[in-house]
Amino acid sequence: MLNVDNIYAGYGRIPVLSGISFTVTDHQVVGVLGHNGMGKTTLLKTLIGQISLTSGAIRFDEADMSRKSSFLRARAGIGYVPQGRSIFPNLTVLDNLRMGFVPASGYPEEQAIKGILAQFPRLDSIIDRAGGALSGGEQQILALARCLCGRPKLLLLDEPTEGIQPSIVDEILEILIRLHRDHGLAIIVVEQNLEFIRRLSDRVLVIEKGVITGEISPLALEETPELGGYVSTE
Amino acid sequence: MDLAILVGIDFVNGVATLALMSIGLAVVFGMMRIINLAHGEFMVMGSYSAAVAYHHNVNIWVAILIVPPIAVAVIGAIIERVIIRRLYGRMVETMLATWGLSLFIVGILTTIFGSHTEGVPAPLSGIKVGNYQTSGYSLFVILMSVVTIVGVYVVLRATRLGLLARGTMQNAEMAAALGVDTSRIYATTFAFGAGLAGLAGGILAPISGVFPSIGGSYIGRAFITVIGGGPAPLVGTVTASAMFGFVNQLATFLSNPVYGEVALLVAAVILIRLLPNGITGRYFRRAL
Repeated sequence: MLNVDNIYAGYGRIPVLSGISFTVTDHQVVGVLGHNGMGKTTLLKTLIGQISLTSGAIRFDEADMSRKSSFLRARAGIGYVPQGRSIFPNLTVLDNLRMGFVPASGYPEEQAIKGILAQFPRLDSIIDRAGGALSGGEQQILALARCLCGRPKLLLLDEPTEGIQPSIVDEILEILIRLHRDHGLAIIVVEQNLEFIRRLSDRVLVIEKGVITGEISPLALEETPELGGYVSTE
Repeated sequence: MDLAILVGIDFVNGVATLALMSIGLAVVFGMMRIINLAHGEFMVMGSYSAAVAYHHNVNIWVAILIVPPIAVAVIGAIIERVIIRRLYGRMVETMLATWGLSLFIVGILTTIFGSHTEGVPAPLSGIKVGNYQTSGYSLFVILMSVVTIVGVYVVLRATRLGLLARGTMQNAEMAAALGVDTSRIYATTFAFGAGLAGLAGGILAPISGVFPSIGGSYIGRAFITVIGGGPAPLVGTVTASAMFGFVNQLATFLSNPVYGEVALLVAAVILIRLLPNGITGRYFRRAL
């Protein structure tokens, strides 16, 4: 599904990713672990097209995405839930969801949103509230639901549990596990919460200084406590 | 009583004219954070397109209501692609570029049409109010101002294009990550604002006459209204137009039009001193 081949990227002249390669097969969930500042968020931003490649190639469903604009990658089936959620603060919950709808997905907008609200009943009761007036947890659920309105095949999740209360973290985890199990959604998740990444991922990549330095199985996260060092914050 | 009605119509007409002049500039500024100093010349191009269409035997209503917004929206779309697109996020450079553009447009219009005034007749005759008579076209301007503002509200609030525009203006990077072609949204929004300027120019052509340099008088009043109104394009335009239009008409009524203009400027200075971010920068913050 996704083939990342020796990509280099950064901010201006400051390199952040220095030759990253990996693949994600259909229906696979890949976790990404690493210290702060190692390039996890940059990796996801590069995959969605918010940061340009310096070199290397990104192929998604056999199509070359390396130079394509962000909106074309989204329309091709890559969904992105950024760190901090980026809810449109002055739009209502419903309008935020409508922003996520991709007409090219082949489903009518109303049907797509109805389906999403069935999966996220918490949003139904706050449908007319402004996005900026929601709690952090509600915003995270909305960001996820908004992204799913476009029916992505691959979901990029950047720290979905950051600053969220534990009950909502569990709710998000259950939703993601269900989406993966029932709909075969592929996911790349960057996360500091080891339990979250262990329960969700099929495999876990370790990133250090912009390079993938290793791959571990989710079970190893439970059995090897020192791996917690990969998520320590400064 | 009849005189009171006439004065009331004059007051409302002053407010409506100001709102009509400003709404295109307000949409472009409020949605895109671009101060288009060529807005007055966009209005003039609307006026000229109405005059040219009328003199080529196009129906007068089509000439003032249909031709100008379409012609100027197309020109606006081209200008967005050639000039504005390269300057997003750089307000000072955009102001300089659009100021240069305004001079260029005045030069082109003078070369093509000369510096004399083109006439477009008002398609409505006077209306009797008791023993007095008022311009039927003034009432039409009021009506068109209301229709235009309601139309802009409907486009922004009730259409998918309006939703995508509002979302893009709040966070373009996120909108693009959701599949929105933000370049197209910017181009469409700018063309929409230009079309509104063209419509205003077409409607005002029978009142103000048409000559190349009249844009300078439009942009000054529209600019003051938009800055006074603040970031919300619709509510800002309506409230600032109401305030400045009322002050202008009151001073004109009590003295003469020159003092009316002075009073408008004084009111604008006081408002900006008290509310540096405009009316909607303090009040109605989440309004459209």
